[in-house]
Amino acid sequence: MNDFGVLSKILMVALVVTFACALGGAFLPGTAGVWSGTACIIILIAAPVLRVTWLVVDWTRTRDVKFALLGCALLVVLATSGAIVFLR
Amino acid sequence: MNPAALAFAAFLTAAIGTLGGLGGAILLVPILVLSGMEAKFAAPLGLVSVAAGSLAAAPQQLRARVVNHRLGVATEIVASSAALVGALVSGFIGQSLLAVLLGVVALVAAFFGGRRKGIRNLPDPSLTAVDVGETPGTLAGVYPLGNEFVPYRAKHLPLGLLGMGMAGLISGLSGVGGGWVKTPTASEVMHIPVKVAAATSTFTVGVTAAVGLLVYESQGRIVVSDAALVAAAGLVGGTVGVRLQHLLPPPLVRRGLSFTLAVIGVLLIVRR
Repeated sequence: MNDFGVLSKILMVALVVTFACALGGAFLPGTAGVWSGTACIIILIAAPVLRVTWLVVDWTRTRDVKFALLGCALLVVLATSGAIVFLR
Repeated sequence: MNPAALAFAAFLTAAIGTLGGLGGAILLVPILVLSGMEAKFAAPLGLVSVAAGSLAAAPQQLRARVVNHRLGVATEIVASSAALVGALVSGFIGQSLLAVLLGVVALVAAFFGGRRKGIRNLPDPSLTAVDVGETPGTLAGVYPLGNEFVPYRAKHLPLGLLGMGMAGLISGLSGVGGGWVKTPTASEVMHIPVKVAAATSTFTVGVTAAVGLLVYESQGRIVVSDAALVAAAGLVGGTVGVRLQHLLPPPLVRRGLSFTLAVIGVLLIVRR
């Protein structure tokens, strides 16, 4: 069985930082508020991608090749989506 | 909508969305539109709420080892690809037809979830806390139910993948997350225990929401101050929702999910 302790701690840090940024984005005036809110949105977008990347690395390390490849395929789909968004 | 009402709506929908693995956008977006917000600004806030709920739930669900990441990744490839296709062809489908289609899907999912009695996967006395989690190399695992441990294995994979593809397509077409189709598909078609299905769906809707937020950011449709407020409230709501999911018995979660889906279905059909 996998131990998700490390990933859980990383995502807990992301959760606390996102919450702080969200509060800043909601209540700080001017540029500080905009930057804080933007940082919050960037973390919300990056967190699931980081999680899938972590899974791919973990499954590669434990030689679960089939699912490591599936994880890579999902990252390719996400990267393709991102590329299409910015090219349109 | 004033900030306090927006924060309360985001908190409530993120809590319900995380509890049932629905995602929350399917609840928040209609509320925002009914309150007078333009749909093009409401949809991004719905996805912010979904992403916040997913992130809030992650640490506790990972510690409890209740998410089946292998199932999530395998099904999300199909769902994300279909969501991309849906987003690309969304301009060719009438919104009224789409609303009826979404409503019918929600009502069918509510019916199948609500009519089932009892628990499908039974505890195995030979299993212990050490066995809890995913089984490497398979779409199987063990989850804790009170003081007992329940084994499960994904069934009807082709049909399940079809359902996940439909969830992705609907998500791409409508701009709301597909969790409200993913959770019933995993639970009722693939025979995954409802708590594992909901937790896995909460993980995958975070991935879908990330792609959707990229689209909206590139279109300049995210109002940062509103998004930040929804994120803060969604993070708190998601934390509350995942704690409730841990405490409530599976049949109650399933019935609550069916009731919520029925309400969503009726709202979608009536409001078209």
